[in-house]
Amino acid sequence: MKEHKPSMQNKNGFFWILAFLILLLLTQDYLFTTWKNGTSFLGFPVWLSWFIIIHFLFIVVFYFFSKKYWK
Amino acid sequence: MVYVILIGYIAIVFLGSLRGAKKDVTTPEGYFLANRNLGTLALFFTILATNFSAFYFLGFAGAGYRIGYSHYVVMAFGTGFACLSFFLLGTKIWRLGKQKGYITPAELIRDQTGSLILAYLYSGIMLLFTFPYLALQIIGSGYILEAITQGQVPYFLGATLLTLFTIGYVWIGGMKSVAKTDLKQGMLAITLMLAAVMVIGNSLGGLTLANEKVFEIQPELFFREGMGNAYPPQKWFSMLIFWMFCIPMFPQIFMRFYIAKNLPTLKKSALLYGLIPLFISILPVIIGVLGHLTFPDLMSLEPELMKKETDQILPKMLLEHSPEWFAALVMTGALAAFMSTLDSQLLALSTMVTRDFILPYRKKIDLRQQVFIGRIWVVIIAFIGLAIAAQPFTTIFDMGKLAFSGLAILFPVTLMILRGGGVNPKFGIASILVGVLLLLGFYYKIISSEWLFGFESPIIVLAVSFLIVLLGKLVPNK
Repeated sequence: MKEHKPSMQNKNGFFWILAFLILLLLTQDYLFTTWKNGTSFLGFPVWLSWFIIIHFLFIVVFYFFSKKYWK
Repeated sequence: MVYVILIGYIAIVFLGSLRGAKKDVTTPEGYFLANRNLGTLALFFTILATNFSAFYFLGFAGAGYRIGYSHYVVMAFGTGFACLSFFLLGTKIWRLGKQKGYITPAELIRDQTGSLILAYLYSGIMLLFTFPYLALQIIGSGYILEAITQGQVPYFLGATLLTLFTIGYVWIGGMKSVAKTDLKQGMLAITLMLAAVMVIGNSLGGLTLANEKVFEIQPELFFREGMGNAYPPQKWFSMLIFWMFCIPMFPQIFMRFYIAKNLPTLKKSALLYGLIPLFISILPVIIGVLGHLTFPDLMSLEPELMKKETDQILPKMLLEHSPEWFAALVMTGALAAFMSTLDSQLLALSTMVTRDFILPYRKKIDLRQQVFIGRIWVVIIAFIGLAIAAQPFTTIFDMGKLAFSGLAILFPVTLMILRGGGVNPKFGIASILVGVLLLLGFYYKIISSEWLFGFESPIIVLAVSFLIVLLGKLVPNK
């Protein structure tokens, strides 16, 4: 069992790093889209809501990450 | 009315900070670190207050005017993402600080590496690159006072008066005063910024209509790349990740990792720190963008004047679109933010000079003398900042960026010490020296920008610094 524990921890650590990298990748919008020019809610640019959602997701992921590792 | 609001605010802040401040300020831990006993809200606001400063109020608004809404994402996500480094570095810094009684960043570096030279270099670089950021709080104060008194208090006089006032309450109360005022000033600044956006938006026919009007005359402000293609892909990537490397390296932030009551407090503060920029970063950017409706021609001014005028878009818009008393109130809140950053920087830097450079050579000085020497250095450092403020050399945002870039050079060494099993001191020293040389080489255009491959210079410099400390792992450390 003790032999498996470090590799389980490594897998979990890798998962979290991957999660944060994916979130960072999602902010690099030029890799997968070009936004339509225009305004939306309250006159803000169309793409603003995308980044707000990513930011919230990041906080949720960070919250669960810190629950596990911030001791 | 303006003077009543200003003087009233100063009296409330000053008297409030004095109450109870005399206790526990006779020891270095009491004076410099508030006895390592700050709770979640106080810790969060004191960290936030040191970030949100002239760089936030004037810098973001100015950049909003020059670039548009993409600047909001850069600052909101970029700053929020930095809470990862609170975990990576902050938790270790807190633990080691508690165990070993560290007060300054260099004390940790010296003790963990055994290298005096690395510790001196680390402290010296922190001091050097904090000065531009310290100076821009003073510059911002001067701009704001000049604006709200409509020129009756000229720029440099205003800058000097606010500097002297800040010296006063830091002198008396140390970190306890600073933390108490940070909490009040932080809440005041956020509330007033929100009110400012509502009032200005309302004056322009409502936020939706105002944004749509700006879109008609300057659609590039609504492009994701920003006006004038300010954020092409490599720069976008650079600016989103840059902040996580530099924010924990601000000396006043580093030292705040020491002062949390416990780890859960630091964790909650980190979560708040990650979340709050999402809501508050947009406020000054909105005002900057809407500034095109009232002041449409600032970009066509000659470059030096354009920088100064766009950096003052926030007070200009307030004076144009709100009653004088309201403009004075909001700008007083902005002054609160500048002073809360300035006081933290003064305290952090004076602590570092006293303990890193003087104490090792004057071991016989007692604790009270240490605090006194710290106080003298508060005054000296403030006046150095004032001297820089006498002649601002670029926009507020760009001054801040230079300061942050220099501080970020310390991140690879710090990460390696705290999470990487230690650093070979020679390679640690090399990574910092090479980093500084490269940064200044790019800044003064001695090194061709072709070598940046489109990225911001701090990212390339960080990559080289990381490479150097990693190479050090391959070399046995005798």
